[in-house]
Amino acid sequence: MAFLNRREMLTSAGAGFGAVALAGLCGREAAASPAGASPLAAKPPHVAGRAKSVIFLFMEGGPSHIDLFDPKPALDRLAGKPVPESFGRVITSMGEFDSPILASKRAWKQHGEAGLWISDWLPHIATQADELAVIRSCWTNGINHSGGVCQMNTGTQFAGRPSLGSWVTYGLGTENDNLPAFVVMQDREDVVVNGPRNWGSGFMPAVYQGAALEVEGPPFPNLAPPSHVTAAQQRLTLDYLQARNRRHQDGRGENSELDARIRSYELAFQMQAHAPEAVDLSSETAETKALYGLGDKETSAFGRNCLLARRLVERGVRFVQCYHGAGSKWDAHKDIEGNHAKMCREMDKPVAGLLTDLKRCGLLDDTLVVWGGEFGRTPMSEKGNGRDHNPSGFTMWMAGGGVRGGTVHGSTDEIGLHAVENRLHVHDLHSTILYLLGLDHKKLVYFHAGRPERIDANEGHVYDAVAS
Amino acid sequence: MLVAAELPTATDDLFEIHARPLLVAHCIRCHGEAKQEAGLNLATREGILAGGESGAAVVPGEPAEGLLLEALRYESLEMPPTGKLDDAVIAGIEQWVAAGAPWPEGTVLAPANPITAEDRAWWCYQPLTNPTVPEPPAAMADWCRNEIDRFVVAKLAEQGIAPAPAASPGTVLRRVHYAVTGLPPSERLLLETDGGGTLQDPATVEQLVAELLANSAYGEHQARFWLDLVRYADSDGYRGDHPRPHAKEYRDYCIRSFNADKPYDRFVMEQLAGDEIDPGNRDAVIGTMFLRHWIYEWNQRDVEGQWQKILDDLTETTADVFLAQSVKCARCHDHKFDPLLQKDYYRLQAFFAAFQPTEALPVADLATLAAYAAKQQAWEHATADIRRRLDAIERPLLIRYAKGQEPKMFPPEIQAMIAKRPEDRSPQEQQLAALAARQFTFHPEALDKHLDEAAAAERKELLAQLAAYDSIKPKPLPTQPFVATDVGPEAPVTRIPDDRTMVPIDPGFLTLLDPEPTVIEPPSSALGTTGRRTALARWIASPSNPLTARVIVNRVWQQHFGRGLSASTSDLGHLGQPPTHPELLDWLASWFIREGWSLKKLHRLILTSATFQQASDRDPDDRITRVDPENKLFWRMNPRRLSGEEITDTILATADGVVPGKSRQRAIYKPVRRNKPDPLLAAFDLPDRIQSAGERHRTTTPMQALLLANGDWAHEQARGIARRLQSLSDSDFVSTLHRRLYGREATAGELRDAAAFMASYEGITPADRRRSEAEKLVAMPGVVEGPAAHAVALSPEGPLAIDLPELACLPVNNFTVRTVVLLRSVYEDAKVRTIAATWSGDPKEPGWSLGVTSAKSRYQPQNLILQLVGKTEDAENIHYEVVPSNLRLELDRPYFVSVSVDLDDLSDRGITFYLRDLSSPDAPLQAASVRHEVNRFIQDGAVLRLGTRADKHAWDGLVGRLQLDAARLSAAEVEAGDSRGAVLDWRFDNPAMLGHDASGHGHHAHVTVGAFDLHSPREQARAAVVHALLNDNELFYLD
Repeated sequence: MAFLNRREMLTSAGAGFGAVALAGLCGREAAASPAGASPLAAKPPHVAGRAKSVIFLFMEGGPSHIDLFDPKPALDRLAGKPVPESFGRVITSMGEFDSPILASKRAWKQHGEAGLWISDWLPHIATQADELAVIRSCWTNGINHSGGVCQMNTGTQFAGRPSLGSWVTYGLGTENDNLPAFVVMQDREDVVVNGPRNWGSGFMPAVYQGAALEVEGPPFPNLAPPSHVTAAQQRLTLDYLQARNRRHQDGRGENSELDARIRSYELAFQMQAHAPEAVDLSSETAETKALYGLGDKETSAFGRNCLLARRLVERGVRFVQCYHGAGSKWDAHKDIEGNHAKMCREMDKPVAGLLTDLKRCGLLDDTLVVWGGEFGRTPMSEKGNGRDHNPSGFTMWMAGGGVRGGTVHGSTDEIGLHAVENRLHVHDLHSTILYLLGLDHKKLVYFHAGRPERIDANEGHVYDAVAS
Repeated sequence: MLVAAELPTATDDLFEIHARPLLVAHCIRCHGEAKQEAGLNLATREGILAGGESGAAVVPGEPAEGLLLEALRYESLEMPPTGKLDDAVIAGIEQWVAAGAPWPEGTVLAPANPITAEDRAWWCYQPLTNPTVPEPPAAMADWCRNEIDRFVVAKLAEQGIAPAPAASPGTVLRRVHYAVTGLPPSERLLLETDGGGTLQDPATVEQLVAELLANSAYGEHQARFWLDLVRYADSDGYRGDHPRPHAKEYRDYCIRSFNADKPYDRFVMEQLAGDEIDPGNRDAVIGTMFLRHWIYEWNQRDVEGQWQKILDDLTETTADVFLAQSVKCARCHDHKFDPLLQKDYYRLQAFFAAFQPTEALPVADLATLAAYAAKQQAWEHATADIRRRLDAIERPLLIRYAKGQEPKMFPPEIQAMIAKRPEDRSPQEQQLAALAARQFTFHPEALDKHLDEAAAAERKELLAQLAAYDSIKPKPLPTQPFVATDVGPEAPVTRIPDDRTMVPIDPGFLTLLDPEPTVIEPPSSALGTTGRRTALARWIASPSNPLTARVIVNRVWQQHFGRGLSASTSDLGHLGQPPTHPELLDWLASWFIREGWSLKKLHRLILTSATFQQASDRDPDDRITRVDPENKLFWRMNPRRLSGEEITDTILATADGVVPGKSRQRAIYKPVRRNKPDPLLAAFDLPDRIQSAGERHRTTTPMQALLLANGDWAHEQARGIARRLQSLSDSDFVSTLHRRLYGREATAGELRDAAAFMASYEGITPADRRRSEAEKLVAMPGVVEGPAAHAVALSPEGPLAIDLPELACLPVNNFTVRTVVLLRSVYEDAKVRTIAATWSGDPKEPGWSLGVTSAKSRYQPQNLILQLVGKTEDAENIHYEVVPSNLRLELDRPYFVSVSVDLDDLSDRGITFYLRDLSSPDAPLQAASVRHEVNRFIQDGAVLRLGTRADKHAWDGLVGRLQLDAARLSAAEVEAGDSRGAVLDWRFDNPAMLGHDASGHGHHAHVTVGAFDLHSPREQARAAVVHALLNDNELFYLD
């Protein structure tokens, strides 16, 4: 029996992991690429020389901007009073618009040469102040977690559109055939709001969707055969299968999907062989692990994810998303002191470690790090000592690839309720992230059901002031 | 006629030549009278001078100033956003501004009528034609089987291309079978059609297609396409993703409708307005669940926002599904490429303005509804004052102590609506209050706790007064949950959001097709609805609608050929693709309407065409490569990958034999959780079921490979199949798999390769997994040699199960069972030790069961009996009877046992039992004949099982051999061991082939040994073969 030579096949397979995803229907860009080329083959950006990959640190549940990056002395002054009429009324998730304003108990200091204001909840991130471009004027439409998380990922509150990672993967392809182009991690077992839909490819083919890295065990689902199948048995079965498939393909040469499917099995086998190495932290030094807070019970879960994120972008993964507080754990409707103190402790050191490590590995210039949640929190109290969701004004920051650090952009009103100056809608944030990757949000178009679709629903503007 | 004084001046010319065209074409849709983005109105001179939020647009005489020119030059703002205009245009504006920006007095710019003659000429808006079927070229006349072929071959002939040769009969069988049922052809069908060979005769194909369309598997398959279109799911989406327990009634309604071949126009009408057009018909009412599949957020406080989103969903889904019009673009602006106005979007939406989801819609005909309404009205009238006073006491407290999400969390205006009595709410307030009310519940039973004494007393008094009118209150009607109706006979006003003119929008169809508002016929007042949805449904389901029939016919064509006659099946507009065969599409659509909108007829016409039955493996020659590389002209069949559902069903069918219609195992019955889709279906491109999907992606990814190569499900299925087929010899095993999975016989080479693979696999399988296989077999005491010398040990604890699910081969009237058994114990109660049975144990299900009675049996213990469940001569109900032999078995002693049955013979000779003690060489063959009553209908479904019929009636002991003959054997035949009409002869003398059928009919037993008891290297090797064959491309692709 003529068993297949794997090396031979891989060579002929060319573009690797993505090469087999003959999705078709991929709009202008893919249609313009040579026939048979993989939709995941690495593609040049519209403008060269900016960030090559993204690490999106998603603080799920909505961190309080006015207790972390956007100090509001007026809160102390107005504490205990209702929001003055002049600030304008908004619909709140829990309906406590009329509850009294809650002061921030934080001690604020300026950090770095640039003197960024950062609260005492984030002592480690504060040491990286000069890397951060803090945007204090973000706003979104979703007042609930589901809509908010969906919008931060896909541009709209309503399900059905591709996530940012999918758009980036669609635009740039991947540099590593043996790993998914778009990887998602979460710090705990709870389900991220909306589940895997957050990293779904919406109306795009599934080839652009994110792959969730498991917290324990094999990194991706089905990466290893069941325990009763040995490696030798698996190889033998695969050879038998592929020999049959090759014979089946004879005389059916016109159907290129057959070849694609044959290759998909070899590539799956490659992933099975290589992915475990990418997530194996045993080769990291104790010093590096300590830098991310591994070994400390509070920081080790997210620290591990941040370290994995570095290892993945190092290996060419295009878009990594790390959820912190999976399952809306930042959602401090009550006892914001207790909640945020804990959440910050879990996240602060790993994030600072990531920035430090990327910098010293020389990866920070090529890696755009984005930090933020689906919205911020209200200046009004809820249940006495908590804060409700605030979609109309909140903070995000970016660092690394293409970003000018040590800068502050935009502002909220006196109490942090509404973004007022240089307002950046989620569409603008997405457009700006694409810009920093060298992609033009107006040109990154995917045709779906008769409509030329863009990440920003044709409404985004690039905010290039964050760029270096 | 212009008089001299009104002649435009030269400077006015600058306005007409440069300013007006630019402003009308590029600016005033967003910055005009209706909409003033950024506060800017460029439709009037005042507006231009005042500018918007960012400053003056034009400073007359100063082309260097003003934001209009700055934006056009893309200096600060960038306008228009679609791209910078030509320099010449901008220069013209500069000229106009330099000249002082002249503007004819009082001129207000308005958008030009955006629908042009060219728009109107677009193919999909033209009335449906009924083109003449072309005469084929003489040489091709014989090739053509029906009209489709004549249209196709005419186009091919124009290009000098001949159609492909016919596909092989086996390919046609598999292709047609999947096309209709989504399932592989059964082994029986392969046998009956000689592996498809008989399909060379077109009449046989016709017959096959007709038979398959009559099979309920058709509806199960067809529903899949429809559920994709209507964004069907069993959960809400969003964070909660709560289950929707009633949604599946819609899924089943679709399956039923397809199987009943409900005319498509009726199907459409029911889904849009079943509550209005046929309120007494539950099926029609369930149809309106089409209007319920939108995603829903259970705790959304922005009630108005969520309501608008729901209305948008209804508008867009309706336009996508039935009309293939991409109206979504027009939600925010006139469509840039299609003649769809923003107004059209809201005209369409206005049909749903009164939409009201309901969890309890009365299902009753008009007369009943009218009678009910009259009574209800009388009661309401009589009790109006009491109820008003009661509400005043109750409502504030019901709201304060509501459970779930507290009403006070809503914005004040929504709270105000909740606080009103329903009868005081406007229709829109009622809709919003009802949407909000889904988030909380009122608890009147707890009210007394919260009322002060006086109020409690007053309430009590009022309730008593109200109860006095109970006698005139109508009895509640039966209701249907999770459906839709209208909020009342009056619809809330529809307006375009952000339209400052606030012009109410009346319901209407696409302006291009009918610019007038639609005349709505008021429905019967008993319905309490507006009739708007009925008007829309009538228009859509009308034979004169140019879109509806074309759209569905095109979808069905896509389903079978992988590509629609217009490739963009959900968008027939300018961004879609014009049809490759416009005449064929029109002819099919007209024919479809003429044939009563019958989808089954449409499928039959397509599937029996020569076009559909072409080979798919034709290589294009140079000419074809040049003229039609994409096969738009159908010079061959397109190969097709199976859907995730078909892949699942094929594997399940191979494992267990899916019984269509009786089994809910098929993938279509899996609940669709929006946030947690089935892994296999999701990997194979299941749409998100959030928006309508007219076509699935077809991706090939390593994730799919990992799922099927490594995932547990595929391995479990492989082992299950290997277990089911374990009694087959290796070559029969591999042959059977080829037949079931690929619908064909294995080649000699494939058998050899499979044998070699299994040998290699067995060779590298660790020895420590070997189990003693012999332990399953025991010697039958008293039987020294022959087929019954070995037996399997059965016990109520299992784990061995032996059965034959394909019951159709079993005899119905006359049969004889022969076996060799040893009984170790009886039950302490009256249960039966079953030897073999087709009866399930349910007294309502027919069948027979041969067994031995236990300690407390009314027929005395250890009595050989036959239980019959079926119909008697003169009654239609299912009758259960015990036919006792009064022949008794001793424990721990081997016996030859037989029963010979002639159901029609109702004399005392109808059933004869035989028994011989094998432990004593001289023991005689005892016989006993008994009368019976059940004489028909004992064979309908179920399975032939050995040693059990239900868990509680199991054999305890040995069973050596089981023979079944489709004849009433005589005593002499039984005595001599002769066979007549043998159906099966199960042997248990070879541990590797337990339950092997030695009769030559291949009715081998399915032998199951617990869940994980199949670990011998050989069994593992056989499971590995199955696993490889399940991953084979041949399973995934149809030629």
